[in-house]
Amino acid sequence: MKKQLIESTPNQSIDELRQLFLQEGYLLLKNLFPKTKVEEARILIFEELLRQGWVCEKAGRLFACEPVHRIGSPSFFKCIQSLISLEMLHTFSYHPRLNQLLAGILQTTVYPHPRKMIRLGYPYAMNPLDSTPAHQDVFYVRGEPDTLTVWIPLGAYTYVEGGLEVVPRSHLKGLYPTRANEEGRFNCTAAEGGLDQLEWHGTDYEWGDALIMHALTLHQAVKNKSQEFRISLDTRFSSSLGHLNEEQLLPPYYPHVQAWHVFNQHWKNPHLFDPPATLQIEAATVSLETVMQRPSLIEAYVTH
Amino acid sequence: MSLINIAQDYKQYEKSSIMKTLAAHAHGKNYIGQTSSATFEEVCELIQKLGLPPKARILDAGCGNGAFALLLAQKFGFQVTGIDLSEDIIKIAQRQTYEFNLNDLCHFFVGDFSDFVTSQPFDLILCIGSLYWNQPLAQTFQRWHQALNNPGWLVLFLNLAEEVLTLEETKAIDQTSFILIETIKHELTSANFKLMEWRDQTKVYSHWLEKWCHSMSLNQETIFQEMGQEKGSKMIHRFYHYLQLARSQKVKRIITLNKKNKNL
Repeated sequence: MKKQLIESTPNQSIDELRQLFLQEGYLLLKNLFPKTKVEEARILIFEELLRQGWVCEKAGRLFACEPVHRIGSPSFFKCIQSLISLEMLHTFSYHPRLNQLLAGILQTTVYPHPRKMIRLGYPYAMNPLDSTPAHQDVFYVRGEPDTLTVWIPLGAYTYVEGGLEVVPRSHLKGLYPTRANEEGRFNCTAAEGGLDQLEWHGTDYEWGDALIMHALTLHQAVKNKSQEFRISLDTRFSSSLGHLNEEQLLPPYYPHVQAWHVFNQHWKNPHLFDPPATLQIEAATVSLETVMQRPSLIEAYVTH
Repeated sequence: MSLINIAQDYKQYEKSSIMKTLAAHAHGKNYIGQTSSATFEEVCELIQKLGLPPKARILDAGCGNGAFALLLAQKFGFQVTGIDLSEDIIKIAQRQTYEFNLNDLCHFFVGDFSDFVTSQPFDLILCIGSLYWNQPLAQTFQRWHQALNNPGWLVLFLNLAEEVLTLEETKAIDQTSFILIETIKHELTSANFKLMEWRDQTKVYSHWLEKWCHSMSLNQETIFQEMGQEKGSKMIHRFYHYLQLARSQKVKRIITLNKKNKNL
């Protein structure tokens, strides 16, 4: 039996949630989003997956089906393009209580990164090499070490469908060594004694849940042992006064996916992503070392 | 023996260095890592007859380590999907798509080839030595019929029995059974496939088994070292009896080409 993530609610005081976040490196917020909102997003995504032949209807259920659209294939990019052009999916980043809480954690105003990852998690059996290995987000996101990821399961996921599991307090250990995994596709994180020896915590995710993680919190996807897609949304936030890697302003997988302006003209708010003047946008090539030298609330917490 | 057990057996077979040695010896220059008696040359010869479209979609049902699928993609530029029950073997196959830079054309996944879901029909389903006596044949052929395009082709490489083997014969080959010829023909017709070609390749099979058995005699010590005395002896015994059954034409190696009829 996996150890369980500690559950929190959005109604708890910000001080209490901040303290727990600093200590554990994550917050599992129950019922943050209304179920209807999550359902709406899920329906929109599945409609698109059905249109593009990713799922097939069988006995009233939508099964992931062959052919598999692998990460990096033209059909994969086509689907991502369609999904990220759905304005509705971006509205999750502007949830008032979420933004208030994240600002409370970082003790500054926050900027929701335009780049969001829509995770289309195939059943493991259909695509065993594309599952997300253990990693720390800072390796990919750069910018500020105090970048926060909010992972939003777009459905209810037990251990059958899998979800995310994290190593509590791993954010306090700094950067774990990285290596390319055996397929050379991802840079995953190695740990002394093996990743399996770490204490991974997970949960059965319910509609409306959100998992907030620090960019240094070690996390990984659990194998999806069902026959259906596990879909979720990764959204990221950092201080609007801090650094932002320019890639976070672009759509995921750009330039395989078109720029925002090509498809956001019909949005209710085409200027949704406009960065504040205070943001220090920097080149994509900034090193991880430079990023890690920047002050972090974790450092202050550890010292304290 | 359940299909899962067969997959586990196959996994051991795939990981065994001595089995690879034996297969390589039996195939000689035709060895491409396959575990069955089929050769890529035979597969190509059949495929070239079919006039498949340039980007044809092929399903390799029971693909094992993907030896045939990868070569089909490489040689013809076909889009080949392989399906097999064994997760470990599928991972090996999938990794090879990167090694050979074929990841745009080939994909392998873990599953039961009698029960999978697809959104795009195949032009050809190829099943090389993966149909076993306890396969749900009717369900499998129906599923394949649904999964094929029009026109669509089904190519099977099979070891079949003319009639039910005696208890002694079955015991000698470690409880292996073979699908009967009349059963296969009946089930193919019932699933609305039209038999276009039926090749009896038993002599080729006997010759292949002779070479396999010869190699076993040369490598007996290594077989025992790797598999242990009891398991090794059993395997040697089993293959000598396969050879006897093939020589006496009780078990036949058949390659059959079938065309999908339009309506079920």
